[in-house]
Amino acid sequence: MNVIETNDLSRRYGRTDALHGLNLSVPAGSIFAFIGPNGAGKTTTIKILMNLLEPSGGASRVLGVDSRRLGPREREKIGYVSENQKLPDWMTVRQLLDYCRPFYPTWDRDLEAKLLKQFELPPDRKVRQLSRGMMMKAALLISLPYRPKLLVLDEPFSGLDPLVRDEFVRGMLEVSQQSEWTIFISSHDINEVEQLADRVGLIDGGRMQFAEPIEGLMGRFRRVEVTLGNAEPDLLSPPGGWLELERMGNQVRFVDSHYSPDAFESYRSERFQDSEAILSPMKLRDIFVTLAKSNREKATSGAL
Amino acid sequence: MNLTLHIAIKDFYRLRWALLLWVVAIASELALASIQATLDVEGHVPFYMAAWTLGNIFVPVIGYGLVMGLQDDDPVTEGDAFWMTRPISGGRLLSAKALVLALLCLVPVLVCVPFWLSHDFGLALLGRSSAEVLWRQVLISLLAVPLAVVSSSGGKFVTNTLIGAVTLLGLALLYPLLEGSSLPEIAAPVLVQKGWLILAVWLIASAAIALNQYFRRRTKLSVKILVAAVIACFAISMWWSRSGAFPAAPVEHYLPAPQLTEVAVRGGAKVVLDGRTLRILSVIPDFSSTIVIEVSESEPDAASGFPRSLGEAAVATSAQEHYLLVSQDDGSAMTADVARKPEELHAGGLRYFRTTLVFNPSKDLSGGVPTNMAPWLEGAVLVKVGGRASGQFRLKGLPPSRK
Repeated sequence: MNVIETNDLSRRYGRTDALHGLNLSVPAGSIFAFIGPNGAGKTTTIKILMNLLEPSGGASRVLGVDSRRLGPREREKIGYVSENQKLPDWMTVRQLLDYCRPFYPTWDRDLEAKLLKQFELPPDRKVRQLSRGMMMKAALLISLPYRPKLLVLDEPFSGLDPLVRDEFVRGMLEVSQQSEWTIFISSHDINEVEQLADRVGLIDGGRMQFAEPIEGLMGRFRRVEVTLGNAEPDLLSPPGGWLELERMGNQVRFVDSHYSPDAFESYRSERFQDSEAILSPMKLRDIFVTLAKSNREKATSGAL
Repeated sequence: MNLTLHIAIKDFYRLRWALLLWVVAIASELALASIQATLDVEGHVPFYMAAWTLGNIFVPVIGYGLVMGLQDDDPVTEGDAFWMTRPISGGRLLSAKALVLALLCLVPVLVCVPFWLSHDFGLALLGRSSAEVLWRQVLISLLAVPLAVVSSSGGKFVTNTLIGAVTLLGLALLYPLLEGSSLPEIAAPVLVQKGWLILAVWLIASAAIALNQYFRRRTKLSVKILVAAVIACFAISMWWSRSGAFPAAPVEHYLPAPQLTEVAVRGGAKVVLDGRTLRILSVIPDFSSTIVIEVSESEPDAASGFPRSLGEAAVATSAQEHYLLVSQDDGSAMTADVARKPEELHAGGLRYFRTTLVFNPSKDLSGGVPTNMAPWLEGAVLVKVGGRASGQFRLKGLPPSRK
């Protein structure tokens, strides 16, 4: 079952298209990293999913409900933390907890106490007096004790120092061990979520580039370096999955985005006769950089 | 309901200091008005000015600002407000805010009640005074609500208020342009009709704007409704000219004796005609050299034995009759001649008269004129002399006792 589903989701701001026919599925129980550069459409997507913004077209479902119909009953099962979230900053941390608690029938006070201690938040300090990191932890603190079925995090680590980030992640893992949930986490930096996520989706220019398990993604991307023999290879019509193709002397380098050992071996024996190939697995970050570059090149050539 | 109360309690807690300031301002106004009313010397002026400033500027402004304070914590204009990310529906939030707003409107009444009780207000007068104070705060809230719900912050609310004030000023300047240099005299029933119609339009627009913002957050649409309401109100004030049976309610102001009939006394004080009693509701000193009492009287009420009508009697024998205002304090008296024809008015099928009585202390009081006439008026008796009938009106003024 998918906890989040979008179907041709689009959103316009005046004449600017922020989202173009976005299709996305997030299976229950997954930790989905929603990656994309700044301005790619991540926050817009999340706001539509949370019914904070209306889509211009298409549809989205969250926890099986049309996101435009998300009501209190669904929100009792959703945790939402955003870097731009406005908390009632006149309250102290304790007052914030006291205010939020009655809205959630499943609120666990023991977990609340545990998280409060773990996050080292001063209960009697006003929210407006908290540092940015503490404020994000306070936002997470009021989103975890009711054990949400879906936790949506919009750029939660932006601007946080590594120590706070670790505490933040540990807080999530604390709940993760005790209940089944789905986490949808957006970030512009894959390094921030690489260790957490088991699925990843890339959005760029308001379009979903791909969304798949990290394991599969890592498996199908290889950096290839071929040392040519005597035969001259045909590089004018490379397969569609080859990206960043370049030749320097007798060296040909590219990224194979649809790598499979058999297919590659067959191609090498056919086009790169007497050659030697070195294939290296790629880090997730490198995969994203490659894809982002490739998309921009396509966009530029399309515009020309 | 529990969650609605939970939100309401949160709002009251957040507004606690502003509320306290408001209560202190209202109580101070009452205290200062009481003090100035007891003073015979010129020293009452600062108290009067302070009471006037508090009552006419601070208290309404704080009451107006409180509406935005209430809205400010849970804005309904933007998509990233905290409440929207929590299990709080627009309906629940609206219920909570409406509850707090209703209770806020009651605050001035609750502050005034002990003061009124200490000044011997009867049940009827207490009800009427409460309604009057409540009504004033309801009107202030009604003015503030549509602006508050389309403002995302206190700063924007102030800006929107200023824009609204400038707009009203601009519209007021349009009157002479559209009507010429001399504005036509408008009959009282038409004025009342206009008032009720404007109120109804504003009420409907406010409700529509609030519902739209809480449930759909279409701020642009709300602003359009607001602009349309302002234009409609202006059009009504400008061109509505119908009169007749509608509305019947305003006639209540001029019900036959012995029911309460409110009359105005110059200088801001209020007097209520209660059967045979003219009761001073609030004593605000009159700085002019005369005391002016405007008496409104409905058609005869034979059963009460009350003068058939002050105005009617005055019409009949205006040359002979006059009114005496006799102080119970020192026995001195002033005379008011009915020098001109009482104004005849019609509303809801009833005829009533408005007579203006002018007393001149400097002419009549041989012992010198007190700076503050309020103590002199305390317990004074208004006597009508001459004409077909005569009657007495007892003045029970504030403060209750200065013996």
